Amino acid sequence: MGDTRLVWAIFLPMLAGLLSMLCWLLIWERSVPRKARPWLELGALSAVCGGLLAEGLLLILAGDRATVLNLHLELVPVSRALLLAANIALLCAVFISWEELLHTGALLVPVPWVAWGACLASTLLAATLLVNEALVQVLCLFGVGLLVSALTLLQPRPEYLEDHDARTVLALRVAGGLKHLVLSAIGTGLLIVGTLIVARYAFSLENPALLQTGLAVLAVGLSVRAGLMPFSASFTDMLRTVPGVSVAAFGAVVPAAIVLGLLLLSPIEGGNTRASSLAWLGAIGALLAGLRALQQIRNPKSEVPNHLIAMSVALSLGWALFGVLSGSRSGAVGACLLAINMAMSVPLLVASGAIRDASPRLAAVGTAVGALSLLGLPLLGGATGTLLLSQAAVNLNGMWLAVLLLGSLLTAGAWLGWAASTRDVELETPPRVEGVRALLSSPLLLLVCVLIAAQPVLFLASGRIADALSTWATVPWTVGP
Amino acid sequence: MPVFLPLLLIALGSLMLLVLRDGRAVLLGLAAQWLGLMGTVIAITPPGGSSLGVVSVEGVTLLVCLLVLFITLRSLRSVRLSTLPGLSDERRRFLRRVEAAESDTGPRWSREGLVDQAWLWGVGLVVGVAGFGLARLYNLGAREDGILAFYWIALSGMVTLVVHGTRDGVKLAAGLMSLLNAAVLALHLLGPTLPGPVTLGLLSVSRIAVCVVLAYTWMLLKVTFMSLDLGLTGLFDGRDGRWPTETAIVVSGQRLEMVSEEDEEAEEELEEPVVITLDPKEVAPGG
Repeated sequence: MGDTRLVWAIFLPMLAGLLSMLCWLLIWERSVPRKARPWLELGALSAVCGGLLAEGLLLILAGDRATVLNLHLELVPVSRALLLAANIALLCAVFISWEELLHTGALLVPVPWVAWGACLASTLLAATLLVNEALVQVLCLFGVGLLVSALTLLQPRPEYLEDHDARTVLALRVAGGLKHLVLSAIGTGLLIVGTLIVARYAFSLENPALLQTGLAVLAVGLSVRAGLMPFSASFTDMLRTVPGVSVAAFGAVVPAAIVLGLLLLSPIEGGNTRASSLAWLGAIGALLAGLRALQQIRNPKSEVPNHLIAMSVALSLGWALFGVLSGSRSGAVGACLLAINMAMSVPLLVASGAIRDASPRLAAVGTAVGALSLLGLPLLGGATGTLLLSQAAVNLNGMWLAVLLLGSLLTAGAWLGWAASTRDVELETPPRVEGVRALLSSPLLLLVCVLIAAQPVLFLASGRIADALSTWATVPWTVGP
Repeated sequence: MPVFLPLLLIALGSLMLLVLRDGRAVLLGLAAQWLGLMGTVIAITPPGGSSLGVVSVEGVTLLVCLLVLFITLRSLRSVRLSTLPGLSDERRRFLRRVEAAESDTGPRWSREGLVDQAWLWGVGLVVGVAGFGLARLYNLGAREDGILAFYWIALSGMVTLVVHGTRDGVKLAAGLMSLLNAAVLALHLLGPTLPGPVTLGLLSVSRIAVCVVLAYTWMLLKVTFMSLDLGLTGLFDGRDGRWPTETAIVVSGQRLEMVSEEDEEAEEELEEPVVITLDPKEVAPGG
């Protein structure tokens, strides 16, 4: 059985989610007195937060191995670090959805679904990164993808809307959900087939082409599943219509896909393959993200640059996948650091967009910090990971570093263009409470402040995290320095 | 058990998936392909090994998935858009006319030309030949007849998605399920050992969940986006803010716009039926 805390770490968030759902069911029950409803809402929120935080605590305290349902669980440092970061992103997703509830003052149907979905996603992500069986890991990650698609598609009251604008928003949402579902399914299929081909190689060692084919299928599957450009078609649609779900998708699921890639590749002997024949996928993805980011110039005065946020995530993903596929230790560690940074930066960017009306200055600072962090600038969370990945790229081929940097430069240019165009826009100052009370009146304001403060902390802690990860990173796959 | 019969079923199902346009026929094709997959699993199981558990799980998955898809499709076919709640009177009258025109002219796929149909048969033929070629060239260390079944299922699913995936909701669902089924067959063909119960269960649950989500999407296409034949064109046009204008309705080649109530009453009094020359592709809001 091993350490039961590891088993609890998987199932506890799901139980917390069920408890939260029970609270919501009571709220919907008409016989429940009106006065009791706020307390039940608080209970639901506390259950979700408690479940996610308790999972983090269990992951810190738990041992390395356990067994459940005849499946072996193994907690490696990279899984531990990523799961902690992913839980923070899921918690932010719940708060961002909750903000909608507070602002409207009415019970929005999607809120409890997002809260429950965050708990289920946490369970599935834990299973993805803890179970020591490749196919189960891939299928659990597909489960999270399905959950994200379902939450994106779910509509409180499916009916025809006469208003064209409202219908356009719905169309964006359905298109985003469908694209995410299709790409998740295709990516999962490729990952399954790639994993099987690589496993098949063990029975026919005289056929190295089989290993190379399996790795190629695995790499393409990983790119499709994670959402590397050009497979990130759903990112912008989802960010525009379902910000809470997007935070869960791009702050927790995409980083988990990066780490799953490392876990799937780690037992493969890197010396038998040509890493440079795969790593270019990440570099090209980053360059394409940069080129697509320039599209924002066509729509410069949008208040929330969803397209830029989406492309910045895709850029960071390109860098990270380059590190995963490069077959080097610095690449693997850098990819993990970037994945952790994505879990912090994406909620910051989305939350900053959500508080644009309440506090424009804080929103501007939050957006700037989040964007610069995803671009990998120093003193912020993404800097150390980007430096390590640059080192891996130089070791592999200097040209790939140039391609990666070009992608970053193009994205940075698009951000600058957007910032310059929005500087002249007059923002209406909303009537609001000043001072600390204003900060406490909205959980998102507080959340943005905490996430901004977390960036330099992550930068300072990166060295220690990298040290902890590098002890694990000496796996057969990482043959290079 | 010889693999010939399952291969025949897979070939037939794949061809139906690629060539036919009617939603029910496409789902029947998917069912035939799925049955072929189950037959292949039985055929490739080594002597002494038991495939009963695997086939039972696949059978239950097939039944649940197709029931969900068939029942949703059947229910949505019987829904008349003009009877849905929340519509303005003007919109309701407009939809009545579109539905009448649709019932007069038949579904869109039945009006396609010979060239379109011939092209699809050509694509089907190419997929079949490509499956043979790939099975010969890249058998991935598996049995050749088994890997041929895998390539046929995977290629038909992929080509269906590429050709029709952005236009037809039913074909999108069938193509996606076909791709996931190909992954399941790969598991049996290439897996070093028999898949465990957790893997089988997850594969089954995930495919059922995909079917449920896709069936829900069909409902959204019909109810929210007013797509008469569950097409996706209107959805993707609407995503870009391009909603078709109702002025496209043309009656007797002369009258434009939605007709008023008086006009409609006067029209009903006419002895000779009014010839409607509208194309539902252009006038249906959802495409």
